[in-house]
Amino acid sequence: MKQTMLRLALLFCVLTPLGVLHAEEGPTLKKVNISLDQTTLRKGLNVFTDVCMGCHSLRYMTWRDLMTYPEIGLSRQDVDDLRGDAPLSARMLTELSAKDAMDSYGIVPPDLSLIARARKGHGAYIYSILTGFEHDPKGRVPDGNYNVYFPGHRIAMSDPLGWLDHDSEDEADLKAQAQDVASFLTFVGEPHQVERLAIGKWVMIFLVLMTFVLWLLKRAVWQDVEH
Amino acid sequence: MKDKTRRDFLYTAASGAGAVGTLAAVEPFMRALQPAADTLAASTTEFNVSTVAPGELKTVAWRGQPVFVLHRTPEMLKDLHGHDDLLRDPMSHAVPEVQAEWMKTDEQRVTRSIKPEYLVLSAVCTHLGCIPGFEPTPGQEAWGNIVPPDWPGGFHCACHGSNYDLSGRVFNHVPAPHNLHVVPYKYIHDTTILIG
Amino acid sequence: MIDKMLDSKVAGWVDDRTHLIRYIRFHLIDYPTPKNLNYWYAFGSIALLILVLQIVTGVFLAMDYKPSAILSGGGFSVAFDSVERIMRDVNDGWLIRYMHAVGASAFFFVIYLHMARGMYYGSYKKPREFLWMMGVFILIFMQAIVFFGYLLPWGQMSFWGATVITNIIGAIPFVGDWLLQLVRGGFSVGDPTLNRFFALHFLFPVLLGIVVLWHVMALHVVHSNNPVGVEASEKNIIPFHPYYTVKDLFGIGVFLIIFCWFVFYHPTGFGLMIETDNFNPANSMRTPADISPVWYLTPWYEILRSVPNKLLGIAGMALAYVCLFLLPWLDRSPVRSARYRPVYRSLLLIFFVSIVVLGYCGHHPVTPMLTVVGRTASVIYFSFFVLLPFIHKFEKTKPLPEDI
Repeated sequence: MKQTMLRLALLFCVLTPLGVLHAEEGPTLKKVNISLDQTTLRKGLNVFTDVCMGCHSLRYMTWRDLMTYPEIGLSRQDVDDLRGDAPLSARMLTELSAKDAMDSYGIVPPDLSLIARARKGHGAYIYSILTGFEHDPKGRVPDGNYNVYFPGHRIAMSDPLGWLDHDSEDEADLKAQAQDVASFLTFVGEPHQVERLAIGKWVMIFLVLMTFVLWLLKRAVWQDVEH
Repeated sequence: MKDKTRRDFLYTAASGAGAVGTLAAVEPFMRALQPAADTLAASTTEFNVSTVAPGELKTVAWRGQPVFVLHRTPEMLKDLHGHDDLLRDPMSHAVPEVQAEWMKTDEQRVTRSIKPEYLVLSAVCTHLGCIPGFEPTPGQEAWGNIVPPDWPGGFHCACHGSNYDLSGRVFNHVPAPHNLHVVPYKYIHDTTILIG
Repeated sequence: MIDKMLDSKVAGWVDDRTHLIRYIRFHLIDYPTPKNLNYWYAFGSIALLILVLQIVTGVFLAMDYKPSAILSGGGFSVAFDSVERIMRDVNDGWLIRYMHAVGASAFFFVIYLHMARGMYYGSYKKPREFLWMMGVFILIFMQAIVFFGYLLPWGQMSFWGATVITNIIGAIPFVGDWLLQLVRGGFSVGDPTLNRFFALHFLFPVLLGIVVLWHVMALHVVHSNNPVGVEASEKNIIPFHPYYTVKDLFGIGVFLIIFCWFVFYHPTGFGLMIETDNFNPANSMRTPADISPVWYLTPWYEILRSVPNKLLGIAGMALAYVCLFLLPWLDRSPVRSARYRPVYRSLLLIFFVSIVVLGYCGHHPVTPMLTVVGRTASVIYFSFFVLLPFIHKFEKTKPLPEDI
């Protein structure tokens, strides 16, 4: 009885990590190298303002943030060129109105401030979507709206980078654009992440040292107790 | 005995590490109480002074507090002279807040503005923080006896009866201790000032 | 140094007037402890530290958080915006928020281990039955607090989690609908719900703190059990300070390393502590595809889900808590520690596994296979309590030592 139950318990422990038990996930996302260095982020910002911002907003970024976050660190002049008439403290919002979007696409494009955090796969999801446009093998979804990585495969956003049927010499450039903008949006999702990792290193070093001293102290104090 | 010394040393080391760790952990909380980035970003205000007509007073919000922008007419500027005996600190020397580094000449210490016609001053009474009223015409005729008989025109704080002239200089025998404070500002264009 | 401080004139002056110093001596210094307590006994101190950490970080978050579901544009709300402002604009706000979010998970992790230790060494038995029941109460209280707190960011998981869980209340016969509206303050989860949950999320931890202090004071009346489970003789008793202060401090050091590793390197806990979908603002018109409570609530949630009847499912979940409460009376064996109880030990380990399996199932969307597994685990969970009153009749316990 006891043996059987123990075996059953063991079976659970083995099956669980194998993923036999739970529902099937969507297609495996493409791998992407997210980098938060200034060059990549600035290139990603350019892709965003040139392409994405036609429809999408960054509600939680102001134009001023592009200067104040050192990871992007644009000059006042660069920001003035980008923002046009918008005040420095204005959010980076698209000029496409919700009504126009509904008329054209039947949906209001989501804000992208947190898109990298709010989707499973994070940066890889963005990259996969941008480079996931294909012809629908069943021919039901029109070209430009069929995306392998989008749940249900039908996406309202029509191929922003022009991935479908791209020339082979453009492939590297398109991939780079997708990667840059995925990196940029990863940064925007959590602008303090570089700082977090930098502080974390010192915190960990300190805590390990402190715990080591506490361990020595514990041993020294307990030396005269038989146990 | 040797064990005891070692143990004492470890106690000291552990206490030291604990103290350092605690201080380091307190620091982010103290920082969190300081103004946040969006609050600091809102701490500068741009204003176009040419929108203020001669003789008119406009109030601009800066850091959540009002700033007076007064376009003084030549008569008003002339009226600034000749009542120094009524004032507590006519040349704005008392405390750093009533002065600015661009106040170089005696004339600038009287007009208290970069361009004499545009007075830019904190609108907060230096007594307890009320906003003084703008009472520009001289004499008691327009304002009654709440202002002194020899009133040269200026600002009157109704809360506790403090008086300032048209350069925000405080009168004698009123509760307010100092002249109205000069706010940090500069001209970024011919007619546009950046406050803060 | 501590002795010097407590013997000082100032301390004496204070003590004459408040007895503060003798409380400190009684509870933190002289408290007599068996000398054989292992590191499993450090989880109590660690849990106390986390409680303090949660209250401090929580108060600081409350200074910048705004409990309002009113829309602020683009489908976002004032509450959601204020959380993002904490993450972006408030100085080190991200750090405080991550400490609070990871802290909630850490609290449950540590409390579950603390309870597992109590079950393993039979610490719930006479004279510590009341101590155990207070502990179970603290667990349920914590689950209520975390449920309130999880609504506050007003993300998709916040909203739908609260919707689903409050609907449980609605299934209660006769008073369900009335009670449901009482909790929500409306016909669905909305702005009034958010406001009252914020108020309760602020108040309840204070009450929890009081109950926890009582728990500690009660412990110091009946004294600590130990891994052997027999009363220690005088010569095997040592004072709490310095022996267990330094031992617990080392335990706290190890805990802080793990805690900070999560805070600084994996603050969302791989989507377990802050769920991915909660970065989407609450949308009352669309349910996320994959909705499940945070990991520390999933075992209870899975018991609820295992029963294919709404009311009975809720009764099952309630029964799961009741069983825990009754543990001291269900177990009739005179021997405390599982070290000397082979049958109890095996059953207990299987019971622990069943909780982990329940938690795993509760975290994933339903599939036929998963339902079977979840139901099996639920049966095992309850079987443990059903078998418990009878084990002592056939269990051959190992000989107990005279002393620890």
